[in-house]
Amino acid sequence: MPIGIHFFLCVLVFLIGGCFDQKEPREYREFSKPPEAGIHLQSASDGAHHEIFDLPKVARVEPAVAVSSDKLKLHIDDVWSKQSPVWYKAPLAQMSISTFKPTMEDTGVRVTFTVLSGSGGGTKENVTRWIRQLSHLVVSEARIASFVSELETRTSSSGLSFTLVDLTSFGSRESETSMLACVIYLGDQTLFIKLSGALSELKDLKDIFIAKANATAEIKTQDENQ
Amino acid sequence: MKISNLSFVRFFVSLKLTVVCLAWLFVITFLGTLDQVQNGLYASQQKYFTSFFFKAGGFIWLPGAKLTMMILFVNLLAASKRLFQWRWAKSGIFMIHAGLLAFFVAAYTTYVSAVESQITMVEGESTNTVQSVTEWELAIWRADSENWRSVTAYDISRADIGKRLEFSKWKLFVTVEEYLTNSMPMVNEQDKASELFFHAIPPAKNPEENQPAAILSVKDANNKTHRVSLFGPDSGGIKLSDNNEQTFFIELRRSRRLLPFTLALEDFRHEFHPKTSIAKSFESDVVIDEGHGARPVTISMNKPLRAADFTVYQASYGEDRSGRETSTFAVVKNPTRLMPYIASILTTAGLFLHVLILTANRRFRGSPT
Repeated sequence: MPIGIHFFLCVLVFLIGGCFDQKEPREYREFSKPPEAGIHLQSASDGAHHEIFDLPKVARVEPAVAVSSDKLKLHIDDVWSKQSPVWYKAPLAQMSISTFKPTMEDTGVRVTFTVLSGSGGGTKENVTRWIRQLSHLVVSEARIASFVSELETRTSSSGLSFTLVDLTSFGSRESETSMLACVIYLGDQTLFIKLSGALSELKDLKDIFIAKANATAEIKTQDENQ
Repeated sequence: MKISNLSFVRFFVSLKLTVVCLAWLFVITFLGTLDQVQNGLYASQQKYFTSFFFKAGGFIWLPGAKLTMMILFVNLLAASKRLFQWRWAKSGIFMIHAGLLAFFVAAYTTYVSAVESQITMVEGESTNTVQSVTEWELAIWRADSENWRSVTAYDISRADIGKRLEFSKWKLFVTVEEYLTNSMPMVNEQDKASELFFHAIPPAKNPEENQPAAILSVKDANNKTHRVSLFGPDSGGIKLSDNNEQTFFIELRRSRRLLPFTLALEDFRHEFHPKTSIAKSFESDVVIDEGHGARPVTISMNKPLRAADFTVYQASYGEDRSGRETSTFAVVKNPTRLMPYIASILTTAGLFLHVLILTANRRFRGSPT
């Protein structure tokens, strides 16, 4: 066979592979058996089935960042895994930028750090949702509203506002999952620090969590650095 | 005029071209290795290795590894055809070259046909699908029973913006108004009652970390149009109902592909190196059902499960949003996975044969006759 035909055949073989571009729908039957239902702690943007809704117009805007993500991660590492008492890195939870556990052993307690733009859905709205997600007992709307209205926002010495949220009062059984949280407002974004685990463990860790959350809120913003 | 005398054919037959291609591949490998430090593995692969051309220094276009390897393959084939003359004494050399060419074919067929995806499960969970790590689909599904869903899905990154996608099974038409490869959800501060909307942010260096969002216009069977916003990391989808009170869900999710078997995670175990959080070993007990009875298998770090054309590796572990431990498997479908073995056998056999022929020739020449 002439060399020219070899040449063209080879080129054809190589090019054919890259030419397919699937734009047709795929239809299939999916089997998915979930494990037994557990308690769900969902992040700010998480949700189960939402009803259909109309949206405000979407604008492409690059978010302004008061604290760079690298600087924030370094600061979090410094406070949580270097300053005493040292916490240990754990596998990243979804959407989190860092995850730690208080001991080497796995007790199921985790602290996760999540950054969202703007107010990240609003502190009161998020806290209300967390209470509902954590509710092993039926909690009345009035009690939730009262709890949320009493949330106190403080200011760190670096000038950042932050809110501490203690949801341990909503639990009764020591083995129930509970949560301590701190919401830090970093200019155009919000850092959510969420400590979740068994109620008994969280009661023991409460003071340490508050101290470390306070230290985390001491991060210096870019404006301050300039 | 003979075709072999044409200048471009002579160009492709030249062994000088072989040397230039090999040297250029060396340079590209070096550049790609340096680049991945700054831009990550995926972006470097895309730029230097899976592209026909790449831009160096921001303005000079140079051939990428894909084009270079294609030229090298054609060059080797053409040069062999022209320079090689068949003799039994050279059969070893012939096999070695055939093996090397088979390596090229193996690499290319793997590149074209192999599909890499993953499954993440918590203990007690079962599935018959794998999820892409980087690709996302727009899926509409209905629950047929407690554990079964009928799904229709489009690969959303390939959907044309503004063009209507037909979900005829569900009597729905969907127009993708906007698709953001990576986005950040926000709430409209002026209107607290409104739901999330999205800011576009630059694609992540590691495409697995992208959080896509889609703004859709959904036209139902009654010609009523709804504006729907979907955010990739959300799970569960948005509920749609028609007049017959049939309920569907629309969801932006990682692309899924059907497996020819069902996999259930029974138990996951891991062990750390003392006083560190570095994994020493991790393994999963799974039950695989290929349609003719279920069987238990343990998948560990160096012991994958092979079934049909699929290989299931223990890849990593983590936590889901509920804090439950998850086990992640890398799933590779490679219909041509035997090709590299065949190429290796051919090359090795060629080397042995050549040594045998040389030895035999020496003995034959050295013996007094």
